[in-house]
Amino acid sequence: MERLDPRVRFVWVVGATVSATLLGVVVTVALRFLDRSLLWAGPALAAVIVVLGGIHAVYRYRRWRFELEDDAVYIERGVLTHVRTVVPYVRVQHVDTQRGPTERAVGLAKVVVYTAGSRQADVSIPGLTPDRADALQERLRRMAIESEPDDAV
Amino acid sequence: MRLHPLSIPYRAVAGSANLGTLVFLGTLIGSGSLDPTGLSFLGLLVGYLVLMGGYQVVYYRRFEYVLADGSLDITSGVVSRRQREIPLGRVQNVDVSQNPVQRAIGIAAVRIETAGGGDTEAVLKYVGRDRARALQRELGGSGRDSRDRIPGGATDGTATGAGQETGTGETAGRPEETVIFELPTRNLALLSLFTIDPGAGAISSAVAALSSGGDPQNVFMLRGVIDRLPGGTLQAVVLVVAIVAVAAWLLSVVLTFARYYGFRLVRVGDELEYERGLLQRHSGTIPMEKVQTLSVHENVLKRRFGYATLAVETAGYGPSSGGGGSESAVPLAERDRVLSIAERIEGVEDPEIERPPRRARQRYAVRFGTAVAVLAGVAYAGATRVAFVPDPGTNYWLAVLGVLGLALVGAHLRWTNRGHATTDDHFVSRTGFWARTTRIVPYFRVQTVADTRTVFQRRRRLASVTADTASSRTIGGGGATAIDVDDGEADRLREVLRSRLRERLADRRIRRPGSRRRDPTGPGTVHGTGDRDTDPDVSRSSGADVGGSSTSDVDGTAGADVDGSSRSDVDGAAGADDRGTPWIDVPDDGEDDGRAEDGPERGDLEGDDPERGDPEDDDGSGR
Repeated sequence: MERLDPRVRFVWVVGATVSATLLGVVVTVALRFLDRSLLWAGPALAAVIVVLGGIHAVYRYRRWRFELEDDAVYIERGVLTHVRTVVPYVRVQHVDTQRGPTERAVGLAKVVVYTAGSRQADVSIPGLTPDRADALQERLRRMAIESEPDDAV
Repeated sequence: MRLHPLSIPYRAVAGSANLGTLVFLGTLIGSGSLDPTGLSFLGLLVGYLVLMGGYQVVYYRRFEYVLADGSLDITSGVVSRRQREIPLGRVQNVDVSQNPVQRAIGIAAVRIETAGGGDTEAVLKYVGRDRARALQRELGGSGRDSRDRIPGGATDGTATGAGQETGTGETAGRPEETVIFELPTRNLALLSLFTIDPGAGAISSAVAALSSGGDPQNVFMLRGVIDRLPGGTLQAVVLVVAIVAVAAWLLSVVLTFARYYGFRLVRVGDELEYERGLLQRHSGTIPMEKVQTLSVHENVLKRRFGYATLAVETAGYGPSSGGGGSESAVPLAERDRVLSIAERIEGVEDPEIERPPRRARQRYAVRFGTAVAVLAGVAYAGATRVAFVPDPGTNYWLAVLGVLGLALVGAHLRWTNRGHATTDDHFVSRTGFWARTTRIVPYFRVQTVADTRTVFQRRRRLASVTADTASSRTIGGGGATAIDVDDGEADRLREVLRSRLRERLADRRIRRPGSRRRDPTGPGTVHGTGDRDTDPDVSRSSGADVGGSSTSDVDGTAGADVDGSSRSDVDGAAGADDRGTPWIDVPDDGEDDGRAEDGPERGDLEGDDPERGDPEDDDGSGR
């Protein structure tokens, strides 16, 4: 089964850092008005979140697997909750590649597979090199097209 | 075609008589700056009506709709013109509603829903009643080629076979109507009494809050009554809550009664049509081939008396249902009746539900028990330390023990009412004690399959498996989830769902006559011609069978190509699109649907090319 590019961990950590910073700022500002002696709580909280985010990113990377099987895309992921998803090619509506700012900086891309489902309507595979992402997109497109059985009769 | 002329005055008046305007006027009059009896007010009113009337006249003249060539084209707009084309194949539901005033003057509002949830695709306000019904017929599918695909993100044109609707309209006239269910008065009464309408609760609370004027004991301005009753603050609070609840219930009774009055479910061709409503009359279509999931609701009371409710979910937004995408097919009937109707609609037999393993029951017991213990502890600490309530002593702990006992019973009840089943054609899941819901998903409707294991589930080797569908129901999601099944069973379920989806799709593809394989690299090749001749009865039989053995109608011989052919879409971007909606062969007894040899080919879905004279055309030109 395929694994993601290791650099995706960095992307995830950056994401966690951004959220942590935002939260830290909000908390600090709030504490400024409430109780100045606890002002250290803001940055501390942010630091804790970054650390947790980092650990989570590492485990998440370890768990992430995907494979293009005969009739579907199979994905395994999740740290606390293990999720295994099967997306049959016949159900693929369209396939996007996305690259956020962090991803672009690091040189990665994400493939998003859209289905008509209501709950897991889009399934994304992060941490792919742009070439791999394009290849995956093309392959999914082809698999989707060809997923009609050979013999219609 | 234009809207009904009476829509001009109705829209002029109804549009302005909304809450905002009334409040505005109310404040103006109340503050004295506007004298309702004076000439200036009258002048203002007349001026306003003239302006509104003028606007509506222009709107009326600029509003045109045409039903032709496989799509509904609507041109509208006074200031900014808008042109909208809705391929008939995309139409999910057509809803016709009339409030009492509209009924009196003979107009109705038509709402056209397409897939993908979200907003109503098109609204015709207002057309004549007969025209509305006619539109419902023509758009709904009995008059058209019910071939449809539910497009996903890509909004490439998807039209249905064009020639079809006119063809059938002329030849078959209105297909025969079979009444499946009419809501007896007794059931309506029971339904009204026992349904808790969530809206009613919200309204009741809001009204209670507003009428109390800030004093919690003055809800509904009943302060005088509440004060006179004995007891302290606690009793007063309980009483207030009880009053609000009773008010909510009463409102719910009235609303439910008005909502389901005169409910009728009939089957016309390939569609289910329902009619209901006392004041606001609704009628809608539920195309059978668009049914994504069926759900049977049996709350505690219903179970006790042997009743149930059947709801049908499609991929379209259901405006009248409030929840989006879900419509009651049978609001209340005896359980057996409901099951037999479900069988007629979807061909599902009463499934044998497998319960989760016993470990799951332990899990619930632990969960509920822990919750009770924690809450009891927190309450105790909070009361004694913070609020300085005197130590309640052993009575409190005995009470906690009692609640723990209840928690264990609750765990058992949850366990007994949970389960799943895999039948020949359906995946079934059930959950809930207070509101037990059984969801039935045909295999060919499955979109993605996922199994999840939380930390706690892993410890007990349990997992939950979800089969997602395209139903656009907002609350509760679209598909069915088998919660807390055994690990190994979860793996098996995943595989079963996956393989049965494949098999059913393949079955449908084979049954469809003229199905051909598309060669993605070149112009389409038609193998189909021969097939069509050789299997004429497979697909045609669905046509002949309108009211009879409904099971075979929908599921088996529908010959629907769910989406295999859509796969052969050359234009990759759109990918596969059909959400598995079968192309039910035209139920027009064997006559050629006016399409070319390639029969009910996906090619026909290409919006721009409905009359495919030559099969080679399907090189993805429209897609």
